[in-house]
Amino acid sequence: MTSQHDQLHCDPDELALFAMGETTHIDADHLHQCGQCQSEAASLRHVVRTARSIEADDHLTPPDSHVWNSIRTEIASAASESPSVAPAAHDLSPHGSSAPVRSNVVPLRARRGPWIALAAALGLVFGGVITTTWWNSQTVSPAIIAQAELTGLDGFTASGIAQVQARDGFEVLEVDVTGLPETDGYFEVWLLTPDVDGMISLGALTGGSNTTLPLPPGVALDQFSIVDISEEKFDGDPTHSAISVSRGELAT
Amino acid sequence: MSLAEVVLLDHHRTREGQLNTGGAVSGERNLAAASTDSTTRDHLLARSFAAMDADPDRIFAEVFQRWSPLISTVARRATGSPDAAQEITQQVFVSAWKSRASFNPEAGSLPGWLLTITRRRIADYWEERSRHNLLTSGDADHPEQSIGPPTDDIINRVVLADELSRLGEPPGEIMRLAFYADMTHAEIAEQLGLPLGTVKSHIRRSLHRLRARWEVTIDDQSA
Repeated sequence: MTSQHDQLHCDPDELALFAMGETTHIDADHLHQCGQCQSEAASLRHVVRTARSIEADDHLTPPDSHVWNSIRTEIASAASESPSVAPAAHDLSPHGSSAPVRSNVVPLRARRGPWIALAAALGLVFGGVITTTWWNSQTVSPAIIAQAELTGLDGFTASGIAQVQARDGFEVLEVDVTGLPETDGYFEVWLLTPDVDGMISLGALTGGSNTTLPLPPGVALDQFSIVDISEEKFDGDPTHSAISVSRGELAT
Repeated sequence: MSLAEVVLLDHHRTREGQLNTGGAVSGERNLAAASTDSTTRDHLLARSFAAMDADPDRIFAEVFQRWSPLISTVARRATGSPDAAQEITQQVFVSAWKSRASFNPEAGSLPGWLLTITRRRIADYWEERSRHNLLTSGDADHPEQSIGPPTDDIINRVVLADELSRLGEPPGEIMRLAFYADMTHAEIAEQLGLPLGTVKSHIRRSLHRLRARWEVTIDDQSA
């Protein structure tokens, strides 16, 4: 929770302008005395200095398309020597007919054809023709309906990803979060409205970093679009403790 | 605790300037969502790469498409040779594929891990050059001629250049004017016809975002 003391720190906007080298209305007396504000200013200055040292040749350029071909060839030849590491062949075409298939058994197939298909598909991508379509068409099994990047609140460092996934006929929220603070209670997952005028409890995080919680069928994710993780005590009080450690907005 | 109290706390956080997608003022929400989107996608890609349980080819192709410009540009700047850069890029991605089981998304970022491999390949390149020079010149007293520029400085600049290009607009334009046209926030506000406060908070948010993304990317793990 933010304390009164923090309000005495330098204004973050002014501190940023100060780091940019502008003349600002920063509280110079405070900055002079406060190690926290000084180190914040120094770290922003490092970003500014580095950004200003960027030269034209530092701007990113993709490698020639033959590099990808060479990589596939090298991997394919390594794979043929050691079949156990051979990846499954896959049709990379953006309109590929095959639905994502989950399988524990990787079928060993002839690989030469698919590598060429891959190279051809990537060639198109490098041509810049279908970059966006190709990228957006990527599906990672299982089907992800929406996802939120969880970031720490109020000095908490808990962060991760929450995904709404379609399972057989129902939806779940898979929460993958790390950096949770130590607790003698537990962590509870909520869906909140953006204005925090409504909330639905989904359940508790398990001890591991990854927890899958079923979503109430028919829940309006466009209204309850915020995933929130709270720290709760074993006090039997079913309401939100108001100690949110991590939060993120679902986006489809 | 009642809903009203949670709302109060939420507004309190927003007022304190926390970048808080939950309680963000509605005008800020789109910006936060836009920048979150690419971060989320990178994070998901890293997780898929680590899991490799479905569509490994496609995931690896995506990893290559997303990160090969970064690796190849760092290698080009560190060696000064486009040919060596292509060679190093190939080596890095072949090693990444072969040692993908050792990538742990909990321990560090995927670009950080790829950059760790890249640093080693760049060091190998210069070591090889030194050995070659020593053999051809026989001059053991000047091996430092083949050390190359400091790789970390190059990585810092290239990663930041990448992040700058991903800020979106108008933050990208505001930061370009502030960094490279040496304009003050007041001058930028006038040029772009934006309120002063908007430009100020864009500068603050962009600097924080650049720093955060930069730290995530450069934070390597001992692979």
